[in-house]
Amino acid sequence: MTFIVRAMATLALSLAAAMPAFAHGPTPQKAEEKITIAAPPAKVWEALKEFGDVSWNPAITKVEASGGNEPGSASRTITLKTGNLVEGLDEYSDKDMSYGYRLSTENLEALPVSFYSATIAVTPAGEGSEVTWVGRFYRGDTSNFPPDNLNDEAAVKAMTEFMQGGLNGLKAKVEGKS
Amino acid sequence: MSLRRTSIAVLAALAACVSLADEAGAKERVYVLSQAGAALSEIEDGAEKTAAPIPLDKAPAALVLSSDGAQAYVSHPDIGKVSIVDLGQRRVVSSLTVAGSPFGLAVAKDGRLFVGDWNGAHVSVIDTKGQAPPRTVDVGRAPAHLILTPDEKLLFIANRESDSVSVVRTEDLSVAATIAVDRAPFAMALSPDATRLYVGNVQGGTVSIVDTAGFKVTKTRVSGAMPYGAAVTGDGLRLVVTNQQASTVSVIEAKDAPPSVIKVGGYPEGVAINADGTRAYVANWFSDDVSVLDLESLKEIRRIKCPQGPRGIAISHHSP
Repeated sequence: MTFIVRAMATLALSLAAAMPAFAHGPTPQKAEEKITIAAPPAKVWEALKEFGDVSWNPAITKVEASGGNEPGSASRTITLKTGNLVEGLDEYSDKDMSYGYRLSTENLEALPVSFYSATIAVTPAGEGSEVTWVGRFYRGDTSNFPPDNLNDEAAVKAMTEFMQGGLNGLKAKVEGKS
Repeated sequence: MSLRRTSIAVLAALAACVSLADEAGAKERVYVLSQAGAALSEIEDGAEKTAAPIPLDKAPAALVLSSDGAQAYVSHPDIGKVSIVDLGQRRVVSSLTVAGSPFGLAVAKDGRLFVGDWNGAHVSVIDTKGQAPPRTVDVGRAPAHLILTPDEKLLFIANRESDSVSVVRTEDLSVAATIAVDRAPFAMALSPDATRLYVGNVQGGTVSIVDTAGFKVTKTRVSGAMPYGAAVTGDGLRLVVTNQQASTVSVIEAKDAPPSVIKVGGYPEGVAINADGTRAYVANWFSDDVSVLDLESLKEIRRIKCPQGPRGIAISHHSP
């Protein structure tokens, strides 16, 4: 039995090498970033609330959007220095000042994650606001032997830095420092 | 192994088949599998917190219990292993090497373990008693969760990348049918009489209801954003679905009314229902806790912290 299992493993390895990894891995990773902003929640949400307007995020150089803020049909194509990502809107609540979206078309050169879903939300915090951005995603290469630039750590690092940069940009914009 | 009573819920779906009558006095135990925390923890019915977790190998993903309730089977897709946990001894007693990325699991009373290969398109059939050599069955791409009918004659496999469900006869491992469903099927649950299979479609945001006699989709119901878990109450009247991207649970009734929606923790995945259908337990992957839902008032009544990244959840109805 041990021999057969080993033979199967070897066969699977050679198959894996020949096949591209599927767009979605078995073990998700997470990122969560927060920032406090010295402005009331309504003012922060004003800057954030259009799904198709990401001018608050300095990492995004261009956006093309359609469908407004309608969950299920709204879509945006964001351009980073490294390439384009297409995202679709899943959840939207003006009342809760929150929206959730997912990656529709992956681009590992743009961001080394194979799939993600994320939610960004504004909540009151003392005199000002707190913005929380959470994401669930998979490493770029979802096989069991990813190269270093497409492994879990690389995915977490890229997503964390993307969120931090975006939140810093939002803070600067809303506080009038950009 | 001593003779034990054999009511058990495997991946919540079989909870539906359990009769409380022959389990008088037995406390239900909820088992929670945590991916990042690499642990299996236990919540005794009514308890406020988890007992000391059982440590596991790296990144466990899916959980099923054996039909005698003595063991838990846990997949580790990243390292190509399946762990067998003795729930009485509270430790891993065996670790099987499985080719590929073992993910979805089902275990039969004869000791056969069915394991889907997430990065492949087949199910491995492993004799855990070591009598027979392993075999494989070709299914659709990226098999996610697996579920056996209570009589163990049929095995259903949700093929995430093929938007289909494969039906395999366990007797001869032939494929009885391949049923087209909505986009990205992942989790499944069976009605108590096994006449209906409920399939949660992650990208579709829907549940496909499959007639298990005709192998046909009879209806597609809307659930919510990214359904990742499903369970049916013992009376067969309610389907509970976790909507991962919405951080909610939908309670879908047999009639065509819109589902009741209950807010839970972050990114919920696995769900299991107790034998009398009064409680649902939901693993909240992002917020590292379990939501306890009262299915009568349709409210969350408790949050129980657990090791990081809870994904799988299953209920056992007797002492291990």
